[in-house]
Amino acid sequence: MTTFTDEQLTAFLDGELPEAKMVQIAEALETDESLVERLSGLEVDFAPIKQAFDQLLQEAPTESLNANIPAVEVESMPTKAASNDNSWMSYAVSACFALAIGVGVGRAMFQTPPEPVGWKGEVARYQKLYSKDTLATFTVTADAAEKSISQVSTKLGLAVPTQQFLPDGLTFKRAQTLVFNQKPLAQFMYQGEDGTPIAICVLKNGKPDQAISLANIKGLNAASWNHGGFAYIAIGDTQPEVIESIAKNFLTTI
Amino acid sequence: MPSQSEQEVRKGLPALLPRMWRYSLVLSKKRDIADDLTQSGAERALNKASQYQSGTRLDAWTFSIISSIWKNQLRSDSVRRGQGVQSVDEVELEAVGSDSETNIFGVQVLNLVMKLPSEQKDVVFLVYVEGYSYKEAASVLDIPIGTVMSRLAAGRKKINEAVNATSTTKQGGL
Repeated sequence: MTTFTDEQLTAFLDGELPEAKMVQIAEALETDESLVERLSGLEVDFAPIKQAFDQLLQEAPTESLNANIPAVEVESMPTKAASNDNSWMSYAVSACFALAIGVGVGRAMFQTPPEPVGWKGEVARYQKLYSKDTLATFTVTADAAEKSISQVSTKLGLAVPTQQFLPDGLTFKRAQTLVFNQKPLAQFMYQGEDGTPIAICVLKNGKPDQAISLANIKGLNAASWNHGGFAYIAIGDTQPEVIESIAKNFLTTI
Repeated sequence: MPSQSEQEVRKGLPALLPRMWRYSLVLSKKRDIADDLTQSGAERALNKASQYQSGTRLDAWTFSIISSIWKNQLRSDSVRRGQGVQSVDEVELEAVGSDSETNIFGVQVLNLVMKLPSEQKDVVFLVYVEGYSYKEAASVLDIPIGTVMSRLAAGRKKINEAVNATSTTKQGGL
């Protein structure tokens, strides 16, 4: 039996072997189960990886680079790459970089500058990743819900009253801690009766109390307020009065 | 009167800046360094434009310049510190919290490559993201094709393991 190296198997996957060797490996794979197993240990779907990296192109500070390079033909600058791409990855990668790194939106030259770039803008951007299907199969027991809310509350430094933390008509789905500018950002995710994902996010900001105010951020309705040194936002693709009601309801529990 | 090569470099460079920056970010893992590295690469490309071989891939040529600058930088940093090559800071690309959804949606995908040992990361990026042939990647990195193959094999294996580990621990979806 002919043995093949991992390098050869890799080159086989990449179509980088001479034809004769490609055929040889292909034939061996029909009968050699251990070879099939080894090959499967090298297989990677690079499509999503490439897609994620392609979104990084939009973060490139092209204008400043261009401005700093002498004698470059500015008129041949490309338009923003893939700016019409609304795939989940487009939002995801941007949101991930902004949330995890605290960099990005300000530098990424989006062509619609009026968008909010603070934490609310990032939360909205992230929230847009969710569809009705995203949370549909995500179920959580009462105990698990309480535990996860408790863990997130601890990281946030705010005792969230677990038992009262169930706004009317919403089903609790998950709690998790994200990060914005190196600060923990608590996300409590719910689903409305029609499946609409709605989030309540909390960030410690040490600012004075502020009443609930409504806004539309990135196409989502949001209600935000400050209370006890924490900033809150309720947000989702639903009616403003629903969001306002959730916000008021929630405010009474803290 | 600029030569044909110089004209091609001047004309082609602006469109390449985002990719040059991305490659710089992959090498350095830091945005501020990526900015500087891209700029240095672009400036050197302009200065050496006459050395560019007209009709060949300008992107590969600029990438090889960036790669060379980066290697020299690492070398000089290493000498200055009197120690081995400094491991790059992972923080800028790392998601926070193992259960964070950021893992699922983006950073984790990028980290499959970014957390590889640097020699594997660089060649995996060039071949599987930039789409270079083995020969082109070898030329950019100034290494033998055999080395490209062994690094890709090792990189593939690690990514494969990471994906399988993730899917095992993340059963249950989002």
